[in-house]
Amino acid sequence: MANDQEKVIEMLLRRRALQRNSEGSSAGVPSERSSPHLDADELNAYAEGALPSVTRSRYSMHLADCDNCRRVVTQLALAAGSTRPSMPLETASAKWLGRLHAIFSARVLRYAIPVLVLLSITTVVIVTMRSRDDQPLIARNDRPDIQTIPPAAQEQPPVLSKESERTEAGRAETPADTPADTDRTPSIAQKAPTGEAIPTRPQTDAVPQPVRAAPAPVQQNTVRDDVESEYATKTAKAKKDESADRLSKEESARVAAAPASGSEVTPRRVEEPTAAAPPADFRVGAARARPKEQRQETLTKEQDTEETRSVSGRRFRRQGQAWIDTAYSSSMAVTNVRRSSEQYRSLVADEPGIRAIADQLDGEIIVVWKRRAYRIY
Amino acid sequence: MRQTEIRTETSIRAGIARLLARAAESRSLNVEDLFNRVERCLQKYLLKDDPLASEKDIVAFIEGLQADDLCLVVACERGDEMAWSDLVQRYSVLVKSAARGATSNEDTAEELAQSVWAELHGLKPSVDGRPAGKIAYYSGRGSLGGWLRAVVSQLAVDYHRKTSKMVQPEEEHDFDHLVRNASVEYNLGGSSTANPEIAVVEGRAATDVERALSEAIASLEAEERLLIKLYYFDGLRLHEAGTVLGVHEATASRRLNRAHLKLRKRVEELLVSHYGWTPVEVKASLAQIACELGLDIETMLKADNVDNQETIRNKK
Repeated sequence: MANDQEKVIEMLLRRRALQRNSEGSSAGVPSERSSPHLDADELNAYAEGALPSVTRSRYSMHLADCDNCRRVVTQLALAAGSTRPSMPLETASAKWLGRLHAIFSARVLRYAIPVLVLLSITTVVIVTMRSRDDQPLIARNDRPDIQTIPPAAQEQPPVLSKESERTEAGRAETPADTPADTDRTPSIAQKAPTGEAIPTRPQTDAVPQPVRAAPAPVQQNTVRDDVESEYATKTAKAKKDESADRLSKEESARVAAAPASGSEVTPRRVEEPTAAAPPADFRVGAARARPKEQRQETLTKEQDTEETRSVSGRRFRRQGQAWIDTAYSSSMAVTNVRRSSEQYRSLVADEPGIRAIADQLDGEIIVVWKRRAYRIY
Repeated sequence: MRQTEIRTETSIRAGIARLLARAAESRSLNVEDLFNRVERCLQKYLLKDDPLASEKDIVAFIEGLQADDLCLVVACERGDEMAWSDLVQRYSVLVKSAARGATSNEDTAEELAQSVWAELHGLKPSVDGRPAGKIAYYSGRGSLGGWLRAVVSQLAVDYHRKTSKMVQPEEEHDFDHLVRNASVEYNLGGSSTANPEIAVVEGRAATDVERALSEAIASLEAEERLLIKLYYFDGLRLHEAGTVLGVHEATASRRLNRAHLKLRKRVEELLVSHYGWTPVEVKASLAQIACELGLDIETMLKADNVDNQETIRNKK
């Protein structure tokens, strides 16, 4: 219905136009309502769209009523329209485009661009500074051994500093075979896996000990060992003298206490701790290695002697401050593993049995595992 | 007020200085040479409709002037022979082409073109001895080529009025149309029925509709009315009407549809309020009129085509 009614309007307009064209236009005489005719300059300016909007509206009013001027404008517009760029399309989205144009106008961009540049520079600087701050953390994490070694571990003197005085030919002896010899400790032929002796501790009186070739940080282990060995050397000598004096006193006291009983005096090493009063260094090592409850349990569970101990199906004998696996022989290659090192953690992760032994025995341990000797200290 | 005038004058001078700077060929002109012309242009096209235009608007207006064309025209007005030579060399072809389009034959076109240059140059000297021609009326707002076409068109109309031979056949032609249309109008009122009373009623209804339509057209906005005239009365296509209005064809189509809706509503309102129709009568009568108009327009179009063919034959 609406379309029919619109058709009516269209038809009425067409009919009126035909009638008017047939009658001839009244273009020569301007109507009462219309303004005076437009001159050539005004006609041309209108046709080329070079008028302000208010002026254009005024001219449109005249052109709507004046056929002559409208005809000239039409001719000029069509002649100019062939060379003018295409007119913009007035769509519903033109408003949005207008708004976008206003947002991204030169006036706005003049201020927005410097602000954006400043923001991006600030962001880059902040990100760069944060990444630099993170690097020390990463660096710190790469050096756990030196940082994370507890003081107690550092104080533990490597017993092998004394053992290193022995020659390569010396073998580990069982308590039954070996007379009491405070200074005798099993000689350990420290050999590198490849057969070459690689000095790990810069000890003046020590046999060069090989360094276990860890998969990646070989150099780090060497450096750590050097630092530790230097410290260990200093403390070892001091404690060695102290323990030697103490044990000698205890030995003499014991001998004096039971000279006629005929009981077999189990020779005790100088470094061997008594059950009643363990030496200070042993206590330090124990505190580091095992909690008190575990020590008590070990003593109750295992066959506990002053000189030997059975742990996890293996027998260890005490030699000085160290527990030596009875299966160990001096011909075996020994791998040194510090308890708090990454190497140790890797080892016990791979071999939980070693961990069980290390947890139950304090101090230095030499354990034979899968035909390989590990010195855990 | 005085300060405003001073500020405006300062803005104009600054604008003219920038105009001379951006002209490819300023022809040794200075700000004073252009000041009066630019000020007149400003008054004519901006300040007349917007007296409170800001300095920004004034600057933008001067920026929109055709710098090279204006400098050329002002130099010609000052009697610069080199400038005149350039003007003729550049635009003689355009003037001839426009003259050919405004007239029917080559000789007339040649005469018209010569008269255009004479009018531009001016036959009578001004007070200061310089030739006073139509060229002084170029403001620089539109292009010089378009202005010359407009001058040719206006001169062609004057030329046609002087030569009565071109007008006479059209007058006879118009008379025939008047007679034919009178009979058509009569047929419109009585085509539906043989009953004279009903024919009178229908005739009155058609008259009411025509009057309502005239009033509705008059109530439209200027650009809408112009669009209606361009499309229906001047017979332009939509894209041509859009070119005249400076809009895209689709925009022109939408505006035309909006104008139709406005006209329909206004006609219905007027028929009800001014002519005493009921809404039911409005809808029923308009539908009937549409049907009858369709036949009527067909007849008129056929007659118009015949007349056009005769006119073409007469011109040849």
